[in-house]
Amino acid sequence: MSMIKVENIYKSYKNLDVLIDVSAQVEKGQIVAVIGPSGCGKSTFLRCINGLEKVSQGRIFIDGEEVTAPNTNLNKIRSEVGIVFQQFNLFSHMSVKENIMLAPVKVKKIPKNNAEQIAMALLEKVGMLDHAHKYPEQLSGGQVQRVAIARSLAMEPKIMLFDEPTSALDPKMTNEVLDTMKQLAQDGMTMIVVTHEMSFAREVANKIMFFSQSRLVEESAPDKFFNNPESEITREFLRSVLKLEV
Amino acid sequence: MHWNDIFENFDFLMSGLVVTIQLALLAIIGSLLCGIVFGVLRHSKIPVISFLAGAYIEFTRSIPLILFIVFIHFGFMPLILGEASSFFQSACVALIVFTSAYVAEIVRGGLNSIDKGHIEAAKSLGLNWFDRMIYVILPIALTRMTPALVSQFISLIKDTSLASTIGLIEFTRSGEIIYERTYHELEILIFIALTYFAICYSLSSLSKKLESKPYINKDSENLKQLKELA
Repeated sequence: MSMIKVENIYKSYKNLDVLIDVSAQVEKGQIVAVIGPSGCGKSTFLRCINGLEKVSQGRIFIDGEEVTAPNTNLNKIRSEVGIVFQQFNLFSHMSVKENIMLAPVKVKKIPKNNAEQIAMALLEKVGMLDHAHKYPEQLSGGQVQRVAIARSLAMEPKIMLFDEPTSALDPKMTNEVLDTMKQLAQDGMTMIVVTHEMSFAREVANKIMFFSQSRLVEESAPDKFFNNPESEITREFLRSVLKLEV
Repeated sequence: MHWNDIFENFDFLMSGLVVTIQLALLAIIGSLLCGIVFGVLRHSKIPVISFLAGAYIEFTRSIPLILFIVFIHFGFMPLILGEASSFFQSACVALIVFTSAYVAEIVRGGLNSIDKGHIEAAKSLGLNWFDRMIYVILPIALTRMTPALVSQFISLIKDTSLASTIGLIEFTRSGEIIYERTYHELEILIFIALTYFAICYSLSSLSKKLESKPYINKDSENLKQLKELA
């Protein structure tokens, strides 16, 4: 069974179609990079997967459970799907450690002591142990994003979604965050990453999904995608972002 | 001048002040709690709930407080309790009903100001509506609302003096009683005014202090222990 199965989803706001007939599958342990020009629907696609956006039509399954069913327990599904945002969205009134502990304690009902151990172990993993007691405003963007990743991981998700996690960061901080994500990929996490980092897509992903004008235009392995894309739209996009001759 | 009036009647004035402070404290706590509830309801996405809370807020804000005090004491409380309530109880209920409408609007503004990303992050972690409100949204909103709330509560402290209209002997009324006997209004009124000022000014200074110290790294000492733990 696929980890994520998306069946013919449509999403529109009033007269604007954001997603048109998108179907896709993601297997356990797969790293999928979602790329495409701004406004192509890639972020919306990601947000539909954990129900932050409701699809207008179509169905989405996560590990066999239907996200789009009317009576679905979204809170339960969301606790199993981590998401990391472009704008980080750490809770500004809580310390780094409290940010990470909140959901395990409140949603999973893990005792505080254990949650604290989990938080500390994760902070060590993302290289932020020394900052456990700081507040988000005292950290750099890259540090905040690594904490946000740790916060999601604390729920032991089956899947991690990344919505342009490095778009608000300078190159050095971008590398910090990408390194953390690479490490996560090596650990076997199923990941969908909406990104403009072509080198990350090429090196780390094992599948590329290319969106353009609300449609999923191309879905292929990175090698094929970057060297021998099928569609003319893809070729044009790659030419413009990579200055590649393909 | 007859400043001696103050010292001669000091105990009586202070007993009035105690009533005022008790009334203000209870009304602040009550209106804060009720105001948060009404504000959250007003903010609700369910139209009926939002409309009903909105109607309460608009209705309450459009009526003078003094009418509330009189109406609650002579109409509402006897109807609910089946017997007359004390002046203090009626005044307290009236102040809570009245101020909670203003607090609710402040709360709604605070809730609207919350970054949508924070709410989405909380949803994405699987937190339910109640936990999102209690642990994420309200704490951030309340911090932002502090200046507006403090100014509302300063109004409330002064509004307690209107309870004298139904006969409650609070601070202002206790002063009145004295100068109705001595005819030396000025000294007593100055004393009363300065006392209100002292209370309200210390409250607003306190709130400024709270504002200027947002989130300080308080417990860096614990850090070492926690590192060992991890």
